[in-house]
Amino acid sequence: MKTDIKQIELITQYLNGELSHFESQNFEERLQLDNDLQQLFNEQKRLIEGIKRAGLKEDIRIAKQQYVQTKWLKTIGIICIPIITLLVVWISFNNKSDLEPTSNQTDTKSIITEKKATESRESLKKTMVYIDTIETAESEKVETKQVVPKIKTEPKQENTLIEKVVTIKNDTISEFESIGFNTERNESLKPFFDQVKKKPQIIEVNTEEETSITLVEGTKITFPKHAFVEENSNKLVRGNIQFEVTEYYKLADMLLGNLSTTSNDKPLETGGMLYINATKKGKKLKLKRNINIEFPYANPKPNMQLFSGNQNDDAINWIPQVNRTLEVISFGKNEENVEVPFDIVENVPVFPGCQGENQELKDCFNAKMKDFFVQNFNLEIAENLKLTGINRINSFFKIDENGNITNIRIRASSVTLGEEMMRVIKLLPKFQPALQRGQPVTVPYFMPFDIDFPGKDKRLPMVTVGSNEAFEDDLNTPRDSVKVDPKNFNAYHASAYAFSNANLGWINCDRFVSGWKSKIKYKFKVKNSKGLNVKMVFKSMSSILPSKATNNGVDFGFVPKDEEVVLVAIKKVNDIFYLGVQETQITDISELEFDFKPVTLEELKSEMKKLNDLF
Amino acid sequence: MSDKEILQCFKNGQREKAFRKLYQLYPKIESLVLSKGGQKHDASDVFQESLIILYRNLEKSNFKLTSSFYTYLYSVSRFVWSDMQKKESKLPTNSLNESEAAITKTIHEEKQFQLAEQAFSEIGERCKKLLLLFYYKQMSFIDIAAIMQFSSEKIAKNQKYKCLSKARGIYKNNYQTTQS
Repeated sequence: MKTDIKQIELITQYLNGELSHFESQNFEERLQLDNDLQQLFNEQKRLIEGIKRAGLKEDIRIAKQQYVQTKWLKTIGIICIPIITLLVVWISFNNKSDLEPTSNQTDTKSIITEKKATESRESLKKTMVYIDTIETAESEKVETKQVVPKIKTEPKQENTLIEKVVTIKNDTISEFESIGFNTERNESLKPFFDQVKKKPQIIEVNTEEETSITLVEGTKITFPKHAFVEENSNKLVRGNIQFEVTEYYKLADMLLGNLSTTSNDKPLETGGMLYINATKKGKKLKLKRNINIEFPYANPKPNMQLFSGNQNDDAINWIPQVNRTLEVISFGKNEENVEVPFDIVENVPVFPGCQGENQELKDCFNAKMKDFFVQNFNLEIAENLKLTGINRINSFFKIDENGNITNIRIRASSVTLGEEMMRVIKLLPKFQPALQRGQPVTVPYFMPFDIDFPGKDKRLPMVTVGSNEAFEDDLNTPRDSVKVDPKNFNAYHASAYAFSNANLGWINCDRFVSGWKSKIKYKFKVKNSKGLNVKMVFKSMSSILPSKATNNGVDFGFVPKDEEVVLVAIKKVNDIFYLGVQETQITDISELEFDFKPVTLEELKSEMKKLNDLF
Repeated sequence: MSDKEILQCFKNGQREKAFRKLYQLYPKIESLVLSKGGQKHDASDVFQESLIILYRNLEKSNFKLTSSFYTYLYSVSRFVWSDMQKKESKLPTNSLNESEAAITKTIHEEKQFQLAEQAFSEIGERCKKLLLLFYYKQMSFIDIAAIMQFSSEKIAKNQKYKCLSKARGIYKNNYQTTQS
């Protein structure tokens, strides 16, 4: 069976083209000679191609669904266009006769009205385009001018990072893009969100140095040297680049950015979101090396994870980032019990006698550990037990901040074996402790130890030897079970969530919300719900849920019963924005009336700011 | 969207997008199948199979698309449909030109893979997802562990072997029943 696994791995590598030329030739020759291998190869190939088929079918199915949807949209579009055109013409004529002069529009009024007359004709075309190619809608965004000062970061000196605190005036939305200029009259809120969303902070970064920047709201980002490559050509980027970051920590910013906190419809609690983008001379860049991102916070919460976001027209979906473990960093020294898994810790504990870079140290540690057990374990004890087959002894222990072994727990088929293992572990030398961000930390370690006796394998019940302290046991949990977060960090006195990350775009520091007991389907009707955008803000935590528009109302899906929430509704009718804010407790309701007030953009923004205290 | 752009989508791994664009050709293929006496659901199956075959051939390094996607899919669909109807294609293989021969060969290969595909629908959703991520999306075990919430890379790897052997068992079983 063992050889089978090896063969299968080889076959997979061969099929993926991962073998070198020489290796694959070698493999092909063997394939010619070895009948068994050939059979296995054919079987494996079929299996792999079979699973690929399943994947392809799934992709095609989704594509088909979208195709059917677009077809319908088109049909609806064709029906709607004449109606919309009539409406647009009618409204523009109406406006011409009695356009209300507003204070900041007096100068441009005449231009606006003229523009409108011509644009009303164009809008027919526009609407068609809008329906036809939903994807290109992105490029139709109303462009706004950005006046953001550029700041240069200084190269580092004498091996210490110079932290440049960048202070940029977050200039508010330019007023000239006001309501009258809106050419799209299909009541979509997308242009609105494009208008009010927060402007990025643009910073010029020198990629030749390790650089650390701190942004207005406290986000700290550290790049290693030469961290960027061009997105298309993968060429290394040198010199200065434009780095854009938008920080979303305040509720108002998130609401105005049309952001919400769900991951595949599961609610998240957020610790802040960022939108990061990097360009050089207009060319998009991507990361080659990880950058460190620190999210500041006031009240720390455990189990924070990094998510990356996919934004579409309606909502943003957050996807848990791969292998980006949270690390809560503390600026105080008296933190306790920070535990970092062996595979993740920045500097592994050092086994006396090991040298070299981190990876070498890691390998050396594992190798020396093995040797140590093989040398010191008294096999006679095992032989006296008259065991047969493979006997496994699993040992768990922690290497604490001082390099000492603690929390030893052993699972073995007999107490005698376990006790012998315990004796060996206690013989281990003192280690140099593991370091995370320069601080010594505790590292859990798991060591499986197999003793192979002649004879048949017997599955003996396992007994536990050692301390009774609660300790994560990876192997005892069924492999298929979902494990929420194996990396629990316990430092509550920290003041930033730190991650390293290899992707730009939407980034969110979040955790899944759990522990809701009773959920109900929350869906209600709203009068005149067309073009309505409703978000649910929780009073008890930093979480925003989006809603789906239904025929005549909105649908939030399943939400916790009796939770105190604030519903924030925005809609646009005839180019006037209406805001409705409703505090409520979640119960089963069928209809809800928002007290819509007409607001200007400025008023809307200040109303949103009032909500900031909720987070 | 031009053929070139669709090709680029495939190259960039945006399979869904490319397929979505190719679906624009569906009505034409549908009328082909309908004209040959098929039903609407047959047309849907034929088109799906043709897309798979197109993709498989695009994956091959020595394959070059000489005609437009439409022409290619049209001819593939024709073969797929006649194959589906007669089970065993009556078309004499020696009268086919090179690219047509490649198409019939792929159709034949796909039929073998279908049995394996069947096995994957029986191993449970989680197993299927894991294998899909590894073999189809070609993700690393580290990434898979994070997505599937395994506590380590190793466990993901172990699980993969478990799932694969499960599928293998089912496949072998099915294979034998079809052979006997």
